[in-house]
Amino acid sequence: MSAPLVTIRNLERHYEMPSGTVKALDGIDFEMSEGERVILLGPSGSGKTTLLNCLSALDTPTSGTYMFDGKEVPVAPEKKKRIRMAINHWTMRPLNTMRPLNRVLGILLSPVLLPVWALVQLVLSPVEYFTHSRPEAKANELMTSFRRDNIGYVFQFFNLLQDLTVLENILLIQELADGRDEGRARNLLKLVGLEDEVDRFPAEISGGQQQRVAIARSLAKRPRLLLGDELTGNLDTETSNTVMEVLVKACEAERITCVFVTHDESLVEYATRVVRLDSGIILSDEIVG
Amino acid sequence: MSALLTKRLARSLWKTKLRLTAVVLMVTVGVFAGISFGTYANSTQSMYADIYEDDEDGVNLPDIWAENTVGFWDGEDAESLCQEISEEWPSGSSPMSYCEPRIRVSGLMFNSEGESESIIPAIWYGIDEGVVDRVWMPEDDCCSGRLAIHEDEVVIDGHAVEGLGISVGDNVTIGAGQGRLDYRVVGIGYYSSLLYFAVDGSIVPAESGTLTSGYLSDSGMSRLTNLSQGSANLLLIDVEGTPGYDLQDTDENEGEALNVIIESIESVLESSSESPVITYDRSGVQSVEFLRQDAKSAADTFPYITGMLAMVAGITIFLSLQRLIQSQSREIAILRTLGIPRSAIIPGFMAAPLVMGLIGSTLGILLGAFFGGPAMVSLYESVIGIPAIGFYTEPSLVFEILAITMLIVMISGIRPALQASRTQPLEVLRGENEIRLSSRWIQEATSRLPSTVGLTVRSSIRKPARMLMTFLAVGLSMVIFGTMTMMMDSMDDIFGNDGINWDAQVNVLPGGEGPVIEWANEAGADYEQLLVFPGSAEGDGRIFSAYGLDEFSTSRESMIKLEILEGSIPEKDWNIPQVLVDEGTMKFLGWEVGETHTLVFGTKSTDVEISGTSMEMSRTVYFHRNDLSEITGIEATSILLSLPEQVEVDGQLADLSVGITEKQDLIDSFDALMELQKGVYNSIMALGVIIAIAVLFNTLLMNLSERDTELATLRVLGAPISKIRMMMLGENIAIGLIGGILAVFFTVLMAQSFIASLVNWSFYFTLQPQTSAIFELVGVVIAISALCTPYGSWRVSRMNLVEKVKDLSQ
Repeated sequence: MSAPLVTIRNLERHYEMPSGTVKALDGIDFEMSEGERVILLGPSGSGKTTLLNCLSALDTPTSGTYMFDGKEVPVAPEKKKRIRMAINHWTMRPLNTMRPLNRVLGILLSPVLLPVWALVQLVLSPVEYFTHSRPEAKANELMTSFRRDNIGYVFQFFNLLQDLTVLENILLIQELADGRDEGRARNLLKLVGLEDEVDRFPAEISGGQQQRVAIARSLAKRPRLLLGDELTGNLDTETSNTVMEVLVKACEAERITCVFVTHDESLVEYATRVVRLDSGIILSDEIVG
Repeated sequence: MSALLTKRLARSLWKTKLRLTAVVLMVTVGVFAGISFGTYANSTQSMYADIYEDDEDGVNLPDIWAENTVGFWDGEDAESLCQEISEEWPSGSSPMSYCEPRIRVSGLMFNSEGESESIIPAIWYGIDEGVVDRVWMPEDDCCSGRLAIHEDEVVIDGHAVEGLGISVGDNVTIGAGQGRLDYRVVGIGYYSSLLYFAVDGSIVPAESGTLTSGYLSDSGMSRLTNLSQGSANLLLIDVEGTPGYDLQDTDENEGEALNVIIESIESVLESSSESPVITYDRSGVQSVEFLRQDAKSAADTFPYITGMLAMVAGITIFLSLQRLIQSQSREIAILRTLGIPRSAIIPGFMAAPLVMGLIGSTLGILLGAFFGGPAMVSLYESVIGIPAIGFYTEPSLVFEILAITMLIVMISGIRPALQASRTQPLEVLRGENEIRLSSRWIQEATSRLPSTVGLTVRSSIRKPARMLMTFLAVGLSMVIFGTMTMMMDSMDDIFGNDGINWDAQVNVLPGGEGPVIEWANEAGADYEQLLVFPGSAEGDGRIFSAYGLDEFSTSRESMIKLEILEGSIPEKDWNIPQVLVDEGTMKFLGWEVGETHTLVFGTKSTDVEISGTSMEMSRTVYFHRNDLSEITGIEATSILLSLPEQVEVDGQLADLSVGITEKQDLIDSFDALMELQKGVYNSIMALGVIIAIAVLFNTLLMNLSERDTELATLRVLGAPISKIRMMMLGENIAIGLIGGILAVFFTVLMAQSFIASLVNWSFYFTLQPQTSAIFELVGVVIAISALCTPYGSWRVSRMNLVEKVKDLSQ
């Protein structure tokens, strides 16, 4: 048996909220082999989207490991409290939370305080840039690079660029990944059944067609892992089925591993494996295909 | 107006703090500039009026001057001329208040510095009665002492004392072609004809220490010039009331009442004076005219500068509000669905620009009144050299500026407010308002470009109206910077000392050129004789300087290098004397090359043919010296010397002359003036650059916020920040390039109209747009625009993609 494509061990993602710590993922252990089509099911707040974000390296786990094809996936450094954030927190307090005297003073002094505030922001910007933003940006770029090389992403609302035609939407992603290949772009559009719509703008085609363009776009740079968050949530049943059939066909043709988040139990028929989550933990993990 | 709705809007606006700051900053800069320039314009106008007034503090400026251009009247003749003028005073005109003879001579001051001695050109005035055109000695640190009474006393001009280190009680050695004499300084004051401290014909105010002026008693002047007491070469005539005089920069004759009197005086002098006399009103006195014109152009210009800056602020407020409405369209649609009437939505969007305008204006007023105004005062004192008395920011000015600004700002809020109130809930909730079909034509035009470039182009011009407004704002914001750059270049071109290749100009009395030429021959110096004589065109009272040159040349080696714009150098010994006329004179008089016109020199007139046009700031007509000599009967008024190495102007030469101007002094004065001007212009340019930065930065922020979804999508799909940065850079450079080209267009228009408001008979120049200035302007806009890119890419790199994905899924 070949080594798994995705290996997750004891993955946690916690958020600090005013009401306390929210454990979106609370110790997930999970493996995926190449070619699998996994559907993540669960109620709202169960942690499916957070898991998807961690898988796509959009989000950084609080703890645990995430290995992709045997290599550790880059993460962003832990965010520290910043001076400027503290200043902003203090200066941006809504007026109605202030004492009446402070409120009046704040209004009267605003012509002076506003430039002072701007000046402080200006002075602190370079400091923060070197201490926080730059390292963070570097790590973010590593994560982006991981996404660019390995991940395809399909949104619920397609998010096609309205100023580009169907074909150009695909070419753009190739260009950004340094590999414009118009032949492949046209083939992908043929694969999703849109070879006649190449020169149309997104606004000129239906929602289902737009989602198929989004699928073609996500495949354009030959990802190894395709992720979809409620990708049929905005489509009617018939169109959903068409889109999923296209997707399965495309993934099989390209031998791409897929993970889809959905509420829709009917999509299980397109999966090879179903993982159910609740409260940040895996409730069940079953092979279906 | 619902408080909750307004609060909601205020909070939304607060989320765009940086953009708000940029907008408020622009309003602030507009108001600041308006208050600063307005304070200058209003204060100078009222200050000159106060100085010229006939009261305890004023000098009682005459209304008419009659000047003997070649010699002097003795005391008896001068009194008799005044008497005749009074007797022949035209009936029906305002009565004559006073006629006072006065004497003005060129001379020198000999200033000892240790063992060396410097020779400073000087203008000396002999004041007898001192009823008209008194010495101005305000109660201020600038001035002290009293008027000269005794024959060995002098009052020194306040412009000169600092550079020469003179104070009341000092002794000074002065001369006026009759040897050297010692005088005691009894006072320090100013004179109306020299408030702008430059010799007649020179545009550049003399640097302190390179020119001096003194005011002597009648007996003191007699001692200095060896003329009898009461001698005069000027008659100062004061007319009762304040009759208007003919402004030199207009075609209209405002001084018709005074013209009747001038004609009468001319007729008296023509019949009674043996010497040629010219008669002129206040506009013929260079200093008076310069200062009037300066104050007038400042007054004419500041509302436009304020208005223009407020308009830039208005455009950005308009764009910001429009963007805000776009981002809030869903919320507004929900409110409308819930039944909130249009009238409840409009006030909030109208109040927003009001608040932004008020905050910006308050800051601008405070900065203008406490920093801009005082800075203008100090600048004024540095350039003009007289104490700025009565400079203050008038409340009426503050209200005027505030009204202009708030009006523009409020107008900019009307359309966005109406747009917000007209939001169609169904359209917005269906998301139809966000769907905008890209232009097929643009798609085809950019289809061969890489998709990244195509996307950049199409996104940039997605909203052509907004884009045009942005370009307009960028273009306008750079107008101040560009105008200043082009004006500096043009002035540098004309002001430059390229045309002067002599080392010293030695002024002599008529017939006094021989000894100076002898001195030059002995010293081995090259020389040329120069004859300068005031004249006017027939039927026009405005005075020009007629220059009689030995050599006409456009070569750099000649003593006076001429810049010929049209036509050719005058031919010698032509039937009708040929002349070269400066372009300003040609324009004001409507003359053309090749035409023949009659010129008047005192009581004589002659026809001349115009052979060409030259570039000069002052009104000048160049003759061959022989031609001008024949008309005026004078051989030369000065000798231009080109000195060999090791030879310097010495005391012997000084004793032979009535004034020596050294080239180095002119260069120093020019450099000092340019330095000061550059300081001013740099400050104004900095204002322009600040506005341009604010506009471009605001544009960048709006683009970012509008393309938020697009950029987030690209980032989630793995677009590297380097690619996005390149896209943004390309877009910013394109905005900068188009904005820069528009800025050049607006700048040329603005600079031309600004120069048109500035130039007058005494001071004329035209815009010389140079390629370097155009490139500089476009380059600055592109640079500012490109420099915004790192901030934009930094914002994109810091996008919280988890949040964005959440947004994209909603």
